[in-house]
Amino acid sequence: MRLGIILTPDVRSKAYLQKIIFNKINQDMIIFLNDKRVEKNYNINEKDEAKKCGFDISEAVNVTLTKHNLSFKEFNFVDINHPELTEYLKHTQIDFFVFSGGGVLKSEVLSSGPRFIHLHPGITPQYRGSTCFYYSIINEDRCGVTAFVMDEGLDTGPVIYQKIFDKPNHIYIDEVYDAHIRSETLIDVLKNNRLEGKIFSKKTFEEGNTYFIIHPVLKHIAILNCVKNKTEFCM
Amino acid sequence: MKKIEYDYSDRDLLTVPEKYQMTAFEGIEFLYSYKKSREDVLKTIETCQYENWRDVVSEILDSNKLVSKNKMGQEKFVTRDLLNIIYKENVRTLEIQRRDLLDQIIKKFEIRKKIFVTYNNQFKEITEEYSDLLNYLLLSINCILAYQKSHNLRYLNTSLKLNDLIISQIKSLTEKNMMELCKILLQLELESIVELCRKKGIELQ
Repeated sequence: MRLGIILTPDVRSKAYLQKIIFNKINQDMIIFLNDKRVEKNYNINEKDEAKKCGFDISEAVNVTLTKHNLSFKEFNFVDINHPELTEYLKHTQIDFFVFSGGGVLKSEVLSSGPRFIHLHPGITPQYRGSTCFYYSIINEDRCGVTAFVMDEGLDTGPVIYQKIFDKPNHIYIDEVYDAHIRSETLIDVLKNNRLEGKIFSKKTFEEGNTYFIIHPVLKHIAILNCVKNKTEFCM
Repeated sequence: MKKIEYDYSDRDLLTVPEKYQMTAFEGIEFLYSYKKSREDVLKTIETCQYENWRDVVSEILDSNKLVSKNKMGQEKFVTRDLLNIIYKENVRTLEIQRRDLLDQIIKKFEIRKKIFVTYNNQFKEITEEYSDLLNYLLLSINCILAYQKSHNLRYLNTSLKLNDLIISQIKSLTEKNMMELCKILLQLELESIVELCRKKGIELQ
């Protein structure tokens, strides 16, 4: 089985790539969708929490790739449905690409040859859609990740593996916790050969919930639910 | 210390919708600010003449009879009628009724941040008109009802967004009973948030 990864210039890709390298997991092909965006600056606390979670949040994806002498194909856009990428994928001979970005894949890219794995921060079908980790933290004091094979639906593809995580004890959920739990689940999938010899057929969801972007009031309740001293974080 | 303001309903959200993407965490002060902001709006609305908020909604619905001859299952429908039907089937029951339809309208609002006046039976808008504030009020009351029944946060989430939008249009709420419905919505929303915070060990001032 041939494995590849499609990276984008964001925290999630940083965590995926750095942990794949740390765990010595071979990738047959690396594609980097790079729109040359300006790297965000992170404060010392974000850097510390990311370090505790096993990745360097301040190291750009292209820096990691270069540092480890990894060859990669670069495109100057981040759109997974871009026709140029679709055409390229047709000739890659890769069985599965891990896709770190977001959005729904169009039929053209889905039928280009390889299959695509996504790590969704929610246990499906109960938690489909956007910012599920916040809802799960409020409801259950924990969050799950679902690794699935992408299809044309929103978080409806056949499930490969699901893993549960405790809620974090810090406030950096968007940047650190999300990337951490997804990357840990990815490593679990890849290290334990959870893709090998499996036929992932379509699973239909008749029940469950599709969540939409969380309102800032609920987001604050979720984040404050993670920390002991609720009044400590006065900005 | 930086003063935190709740500003999610300050601009015209019908014209320039709020997407709520990657909103910043501003500490517990943000929740205090949210609560004060809602309480300030509530102070500007006269006291309800009804003892039971359900009576207010009933009066509004009675004064806005079904405006369409199109019933469920027809080729197109008027959104107000659909919200009216969903409300009436939900107001006196324990379980969420017409959940699929409610979820469809919520999805339309969450994606477009607008509620169009008419849709076809594929839930595609067939008009450009989206400024009927009664639709936003009725969807929000349906969401609050669904949240009270299910404690499913997705309904409270949409209601919060709808209420931000309604507040951003409050000067256009000219009818008294619509103002009263707005007051009811904000009271129910605030009660739900305070209770949720209490359960999570967050004390709102």
